[in-house]
Amino acid sequence: MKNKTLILLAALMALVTFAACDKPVNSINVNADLIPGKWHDTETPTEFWRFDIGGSGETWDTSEDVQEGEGTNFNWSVLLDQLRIDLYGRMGQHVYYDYTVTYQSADTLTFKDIYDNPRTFVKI
Amino acid sequence: MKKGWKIALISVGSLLALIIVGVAVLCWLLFTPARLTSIVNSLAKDYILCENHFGNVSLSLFKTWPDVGVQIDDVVLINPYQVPADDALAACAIHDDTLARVKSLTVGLDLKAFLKDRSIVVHQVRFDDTRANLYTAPDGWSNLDIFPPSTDTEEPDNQETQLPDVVQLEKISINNLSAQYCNLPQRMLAEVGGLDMDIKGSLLHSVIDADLKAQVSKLLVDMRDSTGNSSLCAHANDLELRAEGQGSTDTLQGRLRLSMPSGMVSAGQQTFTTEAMLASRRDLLTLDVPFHANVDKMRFTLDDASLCLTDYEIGVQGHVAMAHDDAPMNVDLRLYADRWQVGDLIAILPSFITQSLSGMKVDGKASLSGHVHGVVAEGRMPLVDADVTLEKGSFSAPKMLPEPLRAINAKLSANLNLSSDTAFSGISKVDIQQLDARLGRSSVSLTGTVDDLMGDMLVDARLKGNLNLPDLRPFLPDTMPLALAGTSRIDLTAKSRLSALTAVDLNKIRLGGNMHFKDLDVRWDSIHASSPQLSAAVALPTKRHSRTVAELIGLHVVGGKLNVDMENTGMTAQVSHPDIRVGIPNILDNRVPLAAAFNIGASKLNVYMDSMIVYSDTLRLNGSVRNDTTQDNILKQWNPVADIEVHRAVLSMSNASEAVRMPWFKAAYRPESTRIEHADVLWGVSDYHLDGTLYGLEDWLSHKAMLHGDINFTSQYADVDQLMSILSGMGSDEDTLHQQRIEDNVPKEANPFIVPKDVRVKLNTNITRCIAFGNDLSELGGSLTVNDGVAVLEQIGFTCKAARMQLTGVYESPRVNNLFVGLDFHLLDIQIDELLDMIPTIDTLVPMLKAFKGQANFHLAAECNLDAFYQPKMSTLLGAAAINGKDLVVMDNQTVATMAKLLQFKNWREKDNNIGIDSISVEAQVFRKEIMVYPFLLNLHNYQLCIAGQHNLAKNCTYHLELLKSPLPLRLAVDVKGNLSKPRIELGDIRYGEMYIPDKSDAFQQRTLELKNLVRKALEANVR
Repeated sequence: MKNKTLILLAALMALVTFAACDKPVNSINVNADLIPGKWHDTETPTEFWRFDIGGSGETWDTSEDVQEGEGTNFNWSVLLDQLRIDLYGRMGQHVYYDYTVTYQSADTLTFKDIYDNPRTFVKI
Repeated sequence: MKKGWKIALISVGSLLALIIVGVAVLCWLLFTPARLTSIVNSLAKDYILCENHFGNVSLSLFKTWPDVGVQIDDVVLINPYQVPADDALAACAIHDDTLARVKSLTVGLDLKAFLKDRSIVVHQVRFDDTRANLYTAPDGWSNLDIFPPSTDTEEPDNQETQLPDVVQLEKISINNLSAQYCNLPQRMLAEVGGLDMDIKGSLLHSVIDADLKAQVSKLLVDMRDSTGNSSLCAHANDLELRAEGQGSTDTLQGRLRLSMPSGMVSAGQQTFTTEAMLASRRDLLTLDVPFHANVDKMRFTLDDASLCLTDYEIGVQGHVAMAHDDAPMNVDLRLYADRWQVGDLIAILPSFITQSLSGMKVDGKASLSGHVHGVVAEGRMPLVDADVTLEKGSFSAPKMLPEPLRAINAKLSANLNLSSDTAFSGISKVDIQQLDARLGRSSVSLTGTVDDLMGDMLVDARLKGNLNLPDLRPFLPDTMPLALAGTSRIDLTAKSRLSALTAVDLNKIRLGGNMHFKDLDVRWDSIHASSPQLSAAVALPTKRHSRTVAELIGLHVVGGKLNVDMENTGMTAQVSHPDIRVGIPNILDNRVPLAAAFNIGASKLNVYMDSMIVYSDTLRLNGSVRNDTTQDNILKQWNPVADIEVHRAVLSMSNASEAVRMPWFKAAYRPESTRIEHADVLWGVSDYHLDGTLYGLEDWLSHKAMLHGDINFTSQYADVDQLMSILSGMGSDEDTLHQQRIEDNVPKEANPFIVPKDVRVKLNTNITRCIAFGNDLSELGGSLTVNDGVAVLEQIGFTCKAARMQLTGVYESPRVNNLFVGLDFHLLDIQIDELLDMIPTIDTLVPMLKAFKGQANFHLAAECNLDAFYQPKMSTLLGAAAINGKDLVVMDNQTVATMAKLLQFKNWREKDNNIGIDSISVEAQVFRKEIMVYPFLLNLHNYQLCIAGQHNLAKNCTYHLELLKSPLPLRLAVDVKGNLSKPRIELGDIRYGEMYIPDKSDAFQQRTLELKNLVRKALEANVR
């Protein structure tokens, strides 16, 4: 009973604390002109992403003997601090990712997914 | 005899002798040579116009006894003439103005007639050592015109010249006569030398008794044309002629004999006599003609006459009736020649006759009997019937016949009508009663007729024989890679006009017959065919008619067994009871393309090729081919149209554990399509039935276009893995695949399915049960399309033990080590636990699913690249999945209990203590190693949860569970983090409280729901 009461109180506090919270305000606007180019993931250097001018691109991982031209195609777009990746499969499946860009330079791009998992790309 | 008589006879004899001597002395005194010479010369001036001279003239009693003889010595007649200076023939003649020079001319006169009635009757004439030169000028003048013209003014009657009733000239002798006769109008020059001739005879009251003997040491006749070239030249040496005849003019009988030991005859540039003829021990030419004659009717009968050219004799019997009164000339002669040695005869014949036999050698014994009968007149020739036989003949012509023909025995009869007058002309023909010959170990026999010999010959022949096939090989070109063995019994008939044969006009030639082969063995280059017994029938024209080929030549082959080896391909075929009918058009007509119509049947067919063996009980192949040399593809070159039917066929391969059986196969090939009407295939425990159509096979083989097809594939049980092993790599270049394997370091053990290329074939499947990738599937229905390296399973519906399933799949094999697989997979009414058993990967995608029990629908669209071992390359994994279910039960496990406790669940279990869920609808997406589950609602009795989150293949997760509806006024949420096997569960932030409340949800939440909805609709869109 004691535990239940504590949990209930904690829940109520959480509701009071976070119920009115909005999403944090974006700090940067993504420069789309810096996106095109060939990048690789700093954690998995064999994973390449090629962003093409016009909003298309391809990603592949050479560690599994997948070469450029044999990878997965995607479309990309930016809005404010959001980088959206739309992957359209040949079987009709549609997979998308929204990333929040936290840092952008000419050769570095840092972003995180909706669960705040960070990733960093380096242009090559 | 008494002495008195003896004395008396002596006395009378002495008296007579005294009288004779007295008369002789008296004649000598009365007719002295000088007086007689003077008389003759004075008379000659009156009767001979040219210059003449008569030497000494004397009487003789003993030389011409019993006639009184007048002998004139040195008779000379001179009649000068001029020859044209530019005449070549005249230039060849000896120009001599002396017409004749006779050393001695003796005339025997009948003394009794002279004494009785003072008439001069000549009984004998004798010339000794005579030289004569006769000349006829171009204008017809002759130096023989030395007598004055006749003073007889009576008109000559038109009656034919009749022999005088009494001719008393008993003997004419010519000794050593030499003469030259030059006739320029007729362009003839003749010479005779050393002529001795005696003619004895008499014609007394129509009774003839004549005997002629002549010998000529030299005889020359030279006839030339206007240009001086010799048109006919003949000379003979030591010619002997003897003729005798007795009887009345209507029953005259006699004999003519001529022998010419040597001589020469030429016409133009051709010489008829040869050195071989002259070298013969026999005379060059001999004639022996016994005859009967009716001079009045000009009819002559020959009795066993003979004409011999050296050793070759022709016998003649019959009669010749010369034209007489209004009757035309008529002959009825029988000719016969017995057993001529043909080879020797040809050897002595002049070259211009035998030149057509150059390079040939002909021999044998030939016999001839002929019958020449009928009228000889203008436009009419007698009929000729001839029988010719040849025995033990031989014929060799190395250029034409590699092997000589021998043992030639022939018997022919001919009927010739040589008349040019159409009123009397008729058919000439030859009847070949027998013509046998042997060639090597072969023998042939020819019979038949040749009609219309003088016109367009009509040949109607039958050829029978026993052939030793190797004997035929030398007749074929050396460059032809053909070897023959075996024997053949042939029986062929042919009928054709010569014009058709010459022109090889197959439309007008009739040919038929049979050939029976035994131990046949034929090798053509690397193709070897053999048969113990085989029969072939040929027909020209054939009675068969097909719609595709204008058949002219028909061939029908039947036999017991036929073996064919194709060494280049390593293929061996054994055919039992072949029944092959082939019809081809006129192969010599360039306007007609080479084509053939065929009907091929066999009771059994075995084919061995490398490691493959094909057996078939019955084979039936009907169709046709038509050649088009402008095409490069073999099918387009031959344009086959064929219907094939095979029963009880078996295909076994050494590298396959089980044979493929084909109980029934029936197909129709056409240039535009191939229709598989019926194909039953049994392979191991699998059974397949195919029917359908393939299109564009010809272009596909020439790599110009893809092979298209639409095939119905029905099976009670199918081993899909087995099928894939067969079809793998079809249409791909072996070298390219091998190179790929090296470059990608693909182990030998990896043998992925390489999708056939250059084909677009749709298989409409209806499979009752099958095994695929280790799964037992049933009731498969849908289509499988193989499209140029891409295999597409289109909405294959099937049932497994867990659910109804529907699959659309794409499989590509661009590289051996980089395969692509895409799935649109639907499981309907599935038991969740069965689903997880069948596809364990689903637990990876939706790990919370194993907490549920019951039926659900599962939809998945995903794609991934695979390596050569079919292992997924997770970096290429891209998929979306949706699961929905109703009335599920939550499996009671520790994690669920923990979460329920944190969320203050109470009374959430059913009465039976199960945790019931009204419905669930989960959408998830996967990319590479990350799986994201879209927010979904979970209704648990009085509670409603929203669940969302993500995890990766390492099962590290971040999930959020939020209580949206509860009996308590609480909004609680928990986060599940860490590894799914041992997650950390803690209270979390409220995120989705307004997501499902219209007008309150934010843009992010709306978009999330839109995407979730899109994913579901896209996934469910293809469910049938």
